[in-house]
Amino acid sequence: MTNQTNLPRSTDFAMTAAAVLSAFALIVSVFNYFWTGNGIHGSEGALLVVVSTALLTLAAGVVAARWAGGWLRSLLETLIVLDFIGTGAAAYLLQAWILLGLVVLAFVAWVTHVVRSRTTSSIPN
Amino acid sequence: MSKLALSAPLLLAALLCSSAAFAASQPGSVASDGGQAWYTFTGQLDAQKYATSDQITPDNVGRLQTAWQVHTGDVSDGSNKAGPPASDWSATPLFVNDTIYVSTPFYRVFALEPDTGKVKWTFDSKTELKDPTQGELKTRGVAYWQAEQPMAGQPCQKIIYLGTPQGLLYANDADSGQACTSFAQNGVLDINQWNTVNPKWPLSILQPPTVYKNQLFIGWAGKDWAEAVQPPGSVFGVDAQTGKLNWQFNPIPPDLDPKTGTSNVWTSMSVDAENNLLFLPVSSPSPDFFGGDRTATMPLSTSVTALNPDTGAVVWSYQIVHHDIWDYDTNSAPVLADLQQDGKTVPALIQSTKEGFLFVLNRLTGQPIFPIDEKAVPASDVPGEQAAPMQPWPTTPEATVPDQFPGVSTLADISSAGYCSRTFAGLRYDGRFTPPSLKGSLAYPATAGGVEWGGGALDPTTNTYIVNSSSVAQIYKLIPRAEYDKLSKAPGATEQGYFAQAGAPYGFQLQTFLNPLGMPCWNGPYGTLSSYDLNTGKLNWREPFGEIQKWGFYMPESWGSVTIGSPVITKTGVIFIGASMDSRVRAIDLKSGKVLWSSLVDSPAVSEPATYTYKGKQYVLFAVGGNSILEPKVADQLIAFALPG
Repeated sequence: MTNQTNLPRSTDFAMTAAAVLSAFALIVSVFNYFWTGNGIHGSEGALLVVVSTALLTLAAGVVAARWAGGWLRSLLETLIVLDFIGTGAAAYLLQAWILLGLVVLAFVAWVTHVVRSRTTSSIPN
Repeated sequence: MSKLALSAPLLLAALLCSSAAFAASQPGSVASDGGQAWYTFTGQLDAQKYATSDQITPDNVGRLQTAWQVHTGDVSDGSNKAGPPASDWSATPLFVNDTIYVSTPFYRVFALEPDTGKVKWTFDSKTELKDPTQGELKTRGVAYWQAEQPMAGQPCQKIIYLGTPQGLLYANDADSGQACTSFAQNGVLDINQWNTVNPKWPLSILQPPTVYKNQLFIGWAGKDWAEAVQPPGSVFGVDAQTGKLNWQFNPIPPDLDPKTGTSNVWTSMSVDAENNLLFLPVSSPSPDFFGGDRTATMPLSTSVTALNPDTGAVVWSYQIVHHDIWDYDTNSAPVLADLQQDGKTVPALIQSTKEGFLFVLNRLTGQPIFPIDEKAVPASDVPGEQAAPMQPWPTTPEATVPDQFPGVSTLADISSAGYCSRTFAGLRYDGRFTPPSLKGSLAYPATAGGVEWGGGALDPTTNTYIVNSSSVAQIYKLIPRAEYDKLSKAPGATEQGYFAQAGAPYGFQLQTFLNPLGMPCWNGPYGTLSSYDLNTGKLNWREPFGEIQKWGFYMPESWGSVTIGSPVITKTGVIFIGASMDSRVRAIDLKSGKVLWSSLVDSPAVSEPATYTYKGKQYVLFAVGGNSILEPKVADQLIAFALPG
């Protein structure tokens, strides 16, 4: 059983990094939506990634801050990975390479969080 | 028989001349430093779009950066119903007289410094921002003339001409922008004074006149989908200094004036200065999609026709489409070339078409250089229509699009729950030249092209011909008049592609074959760039060109993009082209077709770029304005690229 309240600090750091990177991705998405020199400004796709990175930032922040536990935490972790996949695919098709890079880095942080979380959970209390 | 009788003495004289240097010196064709000027819509009168500038090479083109840019402010997306309609900026910027000249869709002229973009002068024609024929505000640029020996201190020794949709042609001094009052009426020529046969609407000068020696050759645009009986497609040979009419060419036999019209020349022309020949791409007669009331022979309609520029007399003509009922206008200036075959130089022209066919003809005689078959084509099943039983069908070079419809796209079909395949099953399709029908016919290629008005470009040192082409399937449906009148009055009818063809027994509906999500129902690629060796007629390479965007998302590169605009080629083997839907301009390797460089611009650059060398530096200049046929995105950006330093 995973110990939801006594995760090591390094795991928190990974999720915090994911949240921060997601926040940067949100900033880039907003910039892409409004900056006229990028070929995607004002488009539905650019708006979609603004929304998806905002949700990503929110969910990652909630998990990093441990404001959710139990099934809600598991649900958020699942939604986060779906958001990574969707946002990454959208960034690829939008040819928004900085956004894609940030999403990939945030995903790596999320994987680190999950791996550390599972490793920790296998240690008996 | 599509050939007209040749003028034997002229032909003989022409054959006696060497054709090696047909792009003879036209005043203004050379820049002040002895380099090449970009002084016509197609760069030069031979329409090769070939630049001798050699600073930018395949090795260094990747370092190109913005040298300067100007926003003219003349742009409209048409969203304000009380404001101007959408703008459609397809102007080729001219580099001549040490100045960049370009017109805007608001019918102003900008004269700019070639190295900085600094404005020298502007001219505002104060044209009412309504288009009486096209619905959009279009311009394809200005024309330039200069005296053979310009007199210093005298005005209007060099003149810039600006056309308007209302049929006015403004002449302004190229140095000052002031009106040339000795031209026509105080510097303004109204060509509607000659619009005397079926004058249903003004003759819109959207394409700049072609200038050769001391004459302007003025074609015009209309709306040959609106009515059956329309003005015949006259071309005017006009004195460049006075605006006096020297001659008028009319492609429609006068006895057919009560039944039809147009076959106008709405795009650029080309000139063989060496042999004194003017080449006209002549469009289809009216109405566009029903010919039952115009079954008489009209050999000059949908043709490439050679005139004597001094008299307007026809030297030869070759009909590209017999009894055109597909709106397959001949739509670009033929490109002139001297082919090398069996140790001989053959004077040729290449006429690209909306059908994707490339007609390679001897430009002195109009005779095919490569085989052109006359093939049997499907008959019409529409009461009153008599489609031509045979059509010209070049077999070499191979067409830019396949002969057969490329098939229903599985992705588009699945994503629309079978809409595409169901629709296709209900259409008539019998290959190329399937006539319009009452149930709806699939036209492939359709009026959208194939090759559009930019045409191709030629490297004359190797006779390598480069051409961008679209692959578009459209649905052609004739609708009996009573039914049409009901349908066309329904809300949103304009958006559904209704064309009245008033006076004909049928109205018409034209729809691009898309699914309800807006996806093309046919397989790509939707746009390609092709290279041909014209000495042999063989295809060198063909690559998907450009990218499509939907909701901002880029589709796979292998799909390519529909294109409007054309390439230019430089001496160093670099192709420059905008044209695609993805708002990018690109440099492409002439040998391989691979993209060497690209840059995002403000909208699709649906124009022909200009390239020139000024004060020792080569610039590549794009007018970036968009075209709502491709994309709603429009702009007012004139952007020049150069190497750093």
